[in-house]
Amino acid sequence: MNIEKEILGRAVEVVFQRTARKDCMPQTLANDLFLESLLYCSSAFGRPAYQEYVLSTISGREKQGTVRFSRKQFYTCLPYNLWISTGEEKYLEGLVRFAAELRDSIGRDKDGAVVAPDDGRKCRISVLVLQGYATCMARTGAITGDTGWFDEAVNQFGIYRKVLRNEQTGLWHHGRGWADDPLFLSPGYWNQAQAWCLRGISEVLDCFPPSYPGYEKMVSMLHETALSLLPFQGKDGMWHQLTNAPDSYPETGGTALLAFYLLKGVKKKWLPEQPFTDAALKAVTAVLKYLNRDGSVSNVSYFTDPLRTEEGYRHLPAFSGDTQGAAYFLMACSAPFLPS
Amino acid sequence: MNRRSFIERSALLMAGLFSLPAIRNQAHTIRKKAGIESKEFVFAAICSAGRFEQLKELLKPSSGIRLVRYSPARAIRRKVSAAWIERGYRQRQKHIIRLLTAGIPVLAEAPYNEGISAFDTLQKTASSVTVPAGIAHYHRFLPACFSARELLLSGRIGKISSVQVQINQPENDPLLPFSPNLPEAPLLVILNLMQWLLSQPLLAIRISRKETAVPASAISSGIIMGAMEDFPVRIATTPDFYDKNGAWSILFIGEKGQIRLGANNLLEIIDASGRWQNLSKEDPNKASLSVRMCFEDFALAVKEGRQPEGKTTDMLPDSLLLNGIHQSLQSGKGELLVELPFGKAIRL
Repeated sequence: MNIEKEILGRAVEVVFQRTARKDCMPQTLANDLFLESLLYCSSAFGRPAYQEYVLSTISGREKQGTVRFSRKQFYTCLPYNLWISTGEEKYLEGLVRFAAELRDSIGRDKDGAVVAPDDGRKCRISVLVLQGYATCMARTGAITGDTGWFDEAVNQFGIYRKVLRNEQTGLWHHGRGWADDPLFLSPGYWNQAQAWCLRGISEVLDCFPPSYPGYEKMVSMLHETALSLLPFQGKDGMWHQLTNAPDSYPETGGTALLAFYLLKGVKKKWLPEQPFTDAALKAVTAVLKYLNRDGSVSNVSYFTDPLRTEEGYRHLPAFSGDTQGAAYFLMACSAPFLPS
Repeated sequence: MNRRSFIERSALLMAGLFSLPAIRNQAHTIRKKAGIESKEFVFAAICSAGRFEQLKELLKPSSGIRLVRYSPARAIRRKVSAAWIERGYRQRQKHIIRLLTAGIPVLAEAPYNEGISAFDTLQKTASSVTVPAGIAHYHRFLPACFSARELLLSGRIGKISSVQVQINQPENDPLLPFSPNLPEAPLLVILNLMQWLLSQPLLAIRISRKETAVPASAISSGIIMGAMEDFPVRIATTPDFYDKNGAWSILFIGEKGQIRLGANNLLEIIDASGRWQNLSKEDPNKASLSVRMCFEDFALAVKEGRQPEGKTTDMLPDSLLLNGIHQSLQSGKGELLVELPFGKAIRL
């Protein structure tokens, strides 16, 4: 166990050293996810330097006048993670107001599912939007104690599940309405979409007290989603770019994120220890093989909104060295050592 | 199997192997057969005689790496550590697939194919075997290239606003049209390098024909406009009828300065000081060094059970680009290399 931790700790340091040389000041999904992953690593490996780096970046952003919560980037909620890590309530200032504005102004499609913020036609839904929105709602509920926010999160997952989840495979489509036809389902099952879906369910659940009526429903959704992923994991521990197509390339980003949330699910006792611990540890070991000597992580799919063809996903290039890939990798490395 | 039971089983197995003489001897024989005992990493080369001698010389300073001539797969399976394939770009893929299927790790020069489906076939094989499949991207090991990657990563020239690529494209002899080399290969190599340096893909291209005094193919005498996520890429190709010297350069233009990277380890930067600074370090062995490092990286990857620097997924942008070049030549229009989400457009 100690040796493993040492190896993963070294890998984390190499990736951190490389990625931290980039400018992480702009408030983007990739940068915020990287900063979030550093908070996990700081806690998992007992290295305060990672948290200090995040705090200095945030302080730099505040000096630049960057708003803490933005509709342009609500797919992560870094201030909430900072509150968890530091205990300082100042990071939560404005969250409730932002969540209320988001809930009241975000577009909804004919089924009531929240749509992408810039979608005038009100039909483009995606797993990324769902997880960002539902997490924001659930976290607001956790802070205020108002279960109405929880209901909104559970309700959105219910609507999205009906629309995007395939009953046969148990996998989720990436989105709907990203074409002329507002009911067009994005074909195939993009690996990172499965991972973002699992992230959304887990982060929402993390806010619920077990006494909340929707708790069991979300646990069961997490369990069915996690269980449906296992048959598609390769012998080497990797999931592939198209989750149900083993002939597509092994995809590091989604695999790493899935490993993180499977282990989180086990630690929080939402998922049984087996077979999920084995699957997740196998994935962490597999992902480690895609770390290059310079600290870049390879085989991370180019990030995209929902596409119109399966070929489009299959042929998304994967270049090493992007910030989002580093973030996924760091999350996977920290997962086995995070306190439960 | 959980971690604890795995460790317990491994410990039991190891204790058994090293305590019982009979089993230990058997293990010794197995290791000897498998070539594990030899510290040398032996590459079986599938290449021309000239290239074999050249490479053998290049790899001399690499301790622990030896190059031997290829013999049939069944014979070499237990005597070599990996295969290296260079011969004929049309045959490379076939060789890679056969050797991988036979359980032999393969390092190969880029197996260029006409269609994207050929990439799928290669990826399918690579995904179904446990041995690594490496693609030799020698440029990635050039000191100037990885220094340039570091400079770009650290934001030394700020946000990139455009990239200009200049390349001398070898022109086929009209009397000998069946060249053993893919005419587009030099362009593909440099554009693959550019995408690796920037860690993002080229999303679209458009080819415009440029008239030259001497008839030349469209690909070697044109302007190719490309687009990445936030900035354009201008690629100027010049026909190279005689020298075949493979000269190229990439100019990265950023909001705070420029970086120029080129053949022969050229690396220059102009930043806030307003003067070009030459960052190249004179090293007569740099080209051989990059080849050697590529082989060493692959050998280490096989030993450590990890993936090498160049992988089969790195062939995807090349296949997309080759396809895009041919489409654009026919249509005269811009071609998308990567599918964009609905509502997102790129202007060329």
